[in-house]
Amino acid sequence: MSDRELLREFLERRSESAFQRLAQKHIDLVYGTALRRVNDSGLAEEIAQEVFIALARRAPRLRWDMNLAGWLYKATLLQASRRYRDEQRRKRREELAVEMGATMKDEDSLLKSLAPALDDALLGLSEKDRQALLLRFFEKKNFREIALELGIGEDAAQKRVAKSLGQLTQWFRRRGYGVPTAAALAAALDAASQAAPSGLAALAAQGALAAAASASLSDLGLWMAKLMILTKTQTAVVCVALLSAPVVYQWHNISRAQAEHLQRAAEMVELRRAVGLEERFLAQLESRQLAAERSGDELQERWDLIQRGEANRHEDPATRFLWDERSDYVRLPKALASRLTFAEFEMRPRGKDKPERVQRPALAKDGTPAPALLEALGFTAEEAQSVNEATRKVFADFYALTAQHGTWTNANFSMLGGGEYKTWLTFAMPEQGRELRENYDNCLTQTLGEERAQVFWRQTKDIFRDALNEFGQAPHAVTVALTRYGKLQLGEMFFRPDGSDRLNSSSDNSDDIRVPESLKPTLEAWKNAALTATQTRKP
Amino acid sequence: MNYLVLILATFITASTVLVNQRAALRKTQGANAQLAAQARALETRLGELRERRDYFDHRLSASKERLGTLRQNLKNTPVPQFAEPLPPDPARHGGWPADAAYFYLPKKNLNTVGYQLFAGHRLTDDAATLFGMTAAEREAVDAAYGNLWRKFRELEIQRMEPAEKPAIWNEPADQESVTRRFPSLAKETGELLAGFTSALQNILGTVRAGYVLETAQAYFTSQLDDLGQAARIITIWRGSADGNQKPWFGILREGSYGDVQMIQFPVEPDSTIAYYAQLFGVEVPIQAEP
Repeated sequence: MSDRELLREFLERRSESAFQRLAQKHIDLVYGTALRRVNDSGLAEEIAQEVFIALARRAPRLRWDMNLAGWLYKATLLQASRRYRDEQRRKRREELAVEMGATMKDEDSLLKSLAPALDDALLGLSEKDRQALLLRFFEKKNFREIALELGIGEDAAQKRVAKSLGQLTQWFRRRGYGVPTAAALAAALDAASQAAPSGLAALAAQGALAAAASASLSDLGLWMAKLMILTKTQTAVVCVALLSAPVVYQWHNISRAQAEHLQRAAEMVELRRAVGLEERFLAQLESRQLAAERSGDELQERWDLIQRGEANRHEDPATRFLWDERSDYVRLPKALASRLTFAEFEMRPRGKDKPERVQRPALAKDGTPAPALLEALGFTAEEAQSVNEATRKVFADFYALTAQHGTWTNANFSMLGGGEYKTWLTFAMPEQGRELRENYDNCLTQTLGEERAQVFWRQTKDIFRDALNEFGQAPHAVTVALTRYGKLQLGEMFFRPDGSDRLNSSSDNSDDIRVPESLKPTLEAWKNAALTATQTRKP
Repeated sequence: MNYLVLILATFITASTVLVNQRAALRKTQGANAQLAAQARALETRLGELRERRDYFDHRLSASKERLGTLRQNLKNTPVPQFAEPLPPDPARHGGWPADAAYFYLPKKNLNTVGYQLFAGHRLTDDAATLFGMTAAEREAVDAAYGNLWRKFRELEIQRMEPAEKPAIWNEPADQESVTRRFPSLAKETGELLAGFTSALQNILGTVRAGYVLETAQAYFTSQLDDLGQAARIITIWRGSADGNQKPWFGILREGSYGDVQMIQFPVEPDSTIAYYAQLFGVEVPIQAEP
């Protein structure tokens, strides 16, 4: 059985015989090495026992693709060094050996001269070369056995031993040792291998097994041990198999979520298309229905007048909405009022393009209704004042609420990155918002009557949606930023109640975006900073 | 030792992958939840719109039936002589008479009224009503605008020439594109506009025509590219957007920065994009006619 098989037998079945066979196989190597290092047979025996105890204890953690002889050799050297730390004494022995080496010719005397430095010389070789020599000279293996152990051909084993011997010879020569030939060194090495005292192997194995038993392996240890027995590839396969399960499970979940996302996105496109189409269709239908109803009303009135014989005392209903050059007014169907928007226009610059004619909002930022709207709905001075006050109050009340229902946040909703910024996030406040709206609706209806209140509401509902974010139905955030180039930038984000983005706008004009009270000091300070930066750049 | 390193490395790699996967999963699930909420809102909106459509469908049918009956009745009745109509005067009942189906608007405020002037190369009902047009006036205005629109498009087609896509719009992921250059049509369309103005003044009189022309000019600027006053380059191409290929529309006017937009949703059939896509023979999503 190979070393690996014996060790596995020992680990898996706690087989004492397997360990004893291992000890038997390698005891000469261990003992001989220890003896060379300490030059004391008693101490060498102790070291051999300690090395096998270490083997029994560390067996679960050993790499199983390594050569056991090599491990034992190194362990022996280490253990011997611990027991033999007198560095000065070692140096003295080396000096003495060098002096002696120059005159000694036979194998024993050559061995004696080389012995103190032999292990250093062996450690100077590569792992593969050292293993070849250890197997050949210390474990007395033939080339076929060496080849099997090292997993190479017999010829290759022979060449490796020869090459290693040559390197060892060179090592000694470079350090002034008298080594005539590689063959002489081989003979010396042969002689250097020390047969361990009979029974030492059994003794060492027993001691090791007893020591190993006292340090019994825990379940985890056994599991680890079993894992360690596997080759690297096997270990990798086990690890990958164990850990890939959750990864694959997560991957499956992600794939499902992504498939769902694609499906939902496609549904959204389809829904938006359907909504767009329906809105267009409805607008056309409403317009046609309005025209048909108006024509019907006119014809009905005409018919009624004819039936009552009063036609000559009334104007023709079909001409009621026609343009009359004699008047400063136009007469319009009330149903049309909700389809028109009443507010002043302005020409808005568009960079190098022609300015654009844009209608202002029906309500100013503070809630003041546009004069055109008041006039179109025929407001009296009292009505205008009352609506004006109510609308401005609802804006003021809402802004006061935003100061109480907000927080600072790290998000930046301005278009430009970099520099400093501050963002105030107003939380959704649906209850308070609903109360505000109900109060406002009541006030409008009381002042204007239901008909005009509805038209007024239709004219202004987009403003309430944008400026008051649907009366606080969803969060809203405002960012004031000072870019690293000293440019002031504002940004705001309206969210939907589900948390998604509804509208994001950005501007470098502080009049475009209403800034909450909490941000006003920052805005003023950065306005000044931006102004200073602009003035600095001008020269 | 190497085994422990191997196991540790595998564990760390798997943990990193798992953590990243978890973040990606949460992000996707969050986006899905948002999409689901948006879809619910859209479905609700769609439901409301369909209900309103059914309602108006029903009312329109009823109105048409009523109109048919009334027209039939009036047809069989001798044409009566009505009294001379009184000019609109809010002094009698106020600007918004409570018991009437109409309200009064000062003419001077007509330039503060927002409305859609044209749709499908014709006046809208709202515009015709706002300016108190008779059927004959409306027909004449439709004809004048139709003439302007047709001649402008004919001029464009005559002068259109192939061109290179402007480099400022080039992205590595862009695919096929069609680009055409339209030289300035200022002189030709200036004459067209003068003809349209004159026709409108003849049909509606100077005052009414003035109000209509003010809105018409803004409409020409935004919807008819200022009647080609400046030379333009128009490109429609397929480009990358969020990892998908989408159609893009770009228009670069001489001396300006130009506009670019991704065509994410179907455009209206009488939109500028739909017109140029059809002219260039390029497919873009267009809404179906209602």
